[in-house]
Amino acid sequence: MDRISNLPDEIIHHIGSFLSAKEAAFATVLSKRWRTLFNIIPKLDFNGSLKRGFKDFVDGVLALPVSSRVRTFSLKCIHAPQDEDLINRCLRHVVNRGVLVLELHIRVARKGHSYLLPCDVFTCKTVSTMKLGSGFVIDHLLLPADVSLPSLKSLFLDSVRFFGSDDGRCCSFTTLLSQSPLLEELVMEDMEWERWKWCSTVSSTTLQRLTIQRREWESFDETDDEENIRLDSRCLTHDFDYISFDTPALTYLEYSDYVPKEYLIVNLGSLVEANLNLCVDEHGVWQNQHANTFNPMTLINGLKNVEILNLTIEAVEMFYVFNESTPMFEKVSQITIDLSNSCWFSLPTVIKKFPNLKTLIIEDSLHYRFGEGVLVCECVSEYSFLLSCPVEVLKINKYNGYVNELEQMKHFLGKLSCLELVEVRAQATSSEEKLQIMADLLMLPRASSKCKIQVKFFQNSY
Amino acid sequence: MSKKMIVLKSSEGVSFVVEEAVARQSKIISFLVEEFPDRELPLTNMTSEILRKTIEYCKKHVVEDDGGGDSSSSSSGDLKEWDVKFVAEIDQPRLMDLLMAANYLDIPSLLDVTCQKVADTIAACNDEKEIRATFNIENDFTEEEVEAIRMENQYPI
Repeated sequence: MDRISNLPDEIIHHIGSFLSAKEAAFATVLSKRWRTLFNIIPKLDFNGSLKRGFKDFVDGVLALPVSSRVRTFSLKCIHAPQDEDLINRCLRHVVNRGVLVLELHIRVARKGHSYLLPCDVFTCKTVSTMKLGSGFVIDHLLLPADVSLPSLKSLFLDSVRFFGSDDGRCCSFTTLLSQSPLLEELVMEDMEWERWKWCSTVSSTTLQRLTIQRREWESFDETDDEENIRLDSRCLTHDFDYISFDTPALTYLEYSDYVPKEYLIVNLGSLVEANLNLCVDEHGVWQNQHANTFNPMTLINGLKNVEILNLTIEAVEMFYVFNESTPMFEKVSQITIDLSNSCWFSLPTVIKKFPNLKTLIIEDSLHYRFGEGVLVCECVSEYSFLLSCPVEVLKINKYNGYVNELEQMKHFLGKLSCLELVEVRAQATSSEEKLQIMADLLMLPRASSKCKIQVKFFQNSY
Repeated sequence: MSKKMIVLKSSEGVSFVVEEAVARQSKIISFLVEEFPDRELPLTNMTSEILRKTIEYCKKHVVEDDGGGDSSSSSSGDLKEWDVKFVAEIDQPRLMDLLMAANYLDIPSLLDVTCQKVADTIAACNDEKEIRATFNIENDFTEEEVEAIRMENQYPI
């Protein structure tokens, strides 16, 4: 027998203790001798109240011998201080069992007791996907000196609070990212950037996909026990000064949040696709006077290499307010806009910044109003801006066939002279309705002779 | 005061004179030194080459205890780096010998370092075929058996 297979069981187990569940799975198919040495557990999962059955679950985890390798560990519960020791013992054990996916949904109350994850989580050599939430504190003083997540590719953070030193020189968030040399994907939900004293900087040379999402648009100051107070116009209780993105390899950015006063560093040279929903206040309406307080130009300029843009009405209006200083986006070939029921006044101006636009996708319905004599809102001034628009593909994702919608389609088809394809997702149930919509659209006069029209029907799902 | 020295003898009969503190990192030697003071210790299942390597490791990892408290000869970061280099320079047959020596002499930190190196070698392989080739492991499974185990382990993901 070969030398490695000849080693005593306990030595092979010791070697195995350094392997991830994936690598150990390879080891089990080496030979019959190796088959018996490792036990691969696909998933350990606890979802429920710590009061019921958690102790048994933890006992089971703690009893796992070193030869057990755990692929996925998932814990969903509401944090309770008296069970913290149990949770931590469980986590310390499982991060040394070759775990690949670590999902911790431990809900910590925003007030009072703050919960710190055990250090071992931040030195786990095998974990490649980590989901952390919610309400944790990750303080730079309490991170172990040897933070290292050498296999980490995807990191999901839900309401995790990071803290930096007083002099601003180190921050637990920066440390975490810099010690994750393979990181490709980062999702940050409800980070409440403005609330904590931290670096507010996403810095990674390897990061490819970044998602920033705010679900809670109203922030309250819970330090005041008497009454929740709101300070500024956009309901933020703290000054939201800046954000930096130093992510040269990033190709995809999804960003839905309030804008800070400014963006200090924006390094997005590889960015291909950006999905933006940038609000200035809770009403979501950008106005000219906002330019006195907010300066997102570093971010706007940083988008210069983008090819695909998905914009909400708020983002379009931001471009509108800063239109004069906004550069031309030569590389943008596709824009998706979701203007919902808002007025489209900003669109004619903003769209001129995209001289090479090939595909225009309108996510929500066209700009019409019920029960008014006016068929087309004057804000778009009869869509004259379309005359110089090089769009080849137009997709309308919500169409009902109303007379005012048809009137607008007339402008699109009659003015976009480069059009090759129009795709309409229409809502209709009866075949008469479908026939009417098809006939109306197909008979519209077209500025482009090679323009084809495709209509797809869907049924109202709500 | 001069440091106390002890003598270790390899399978080829070569004697190595080492400081007692260095040698005592082996729990086995530590025990033998106490039971048989001032005797030459015969390590008949270790070649001179492997014994020399083992002593080199122990010398680097000895904790100096000459008045300065627990001042190690190197910082822990440097030591880790040194360990990585130490095992990187050893070829596979000798790594196995060293691993067995660490096991036999009961030197836990050296066992960790050598086992980690073997694990890293396994982890660097793309599949089980490559692992088998690297360590000359004979496949005594049929294709069907391998498939069955794969299913059981939900491999690959």
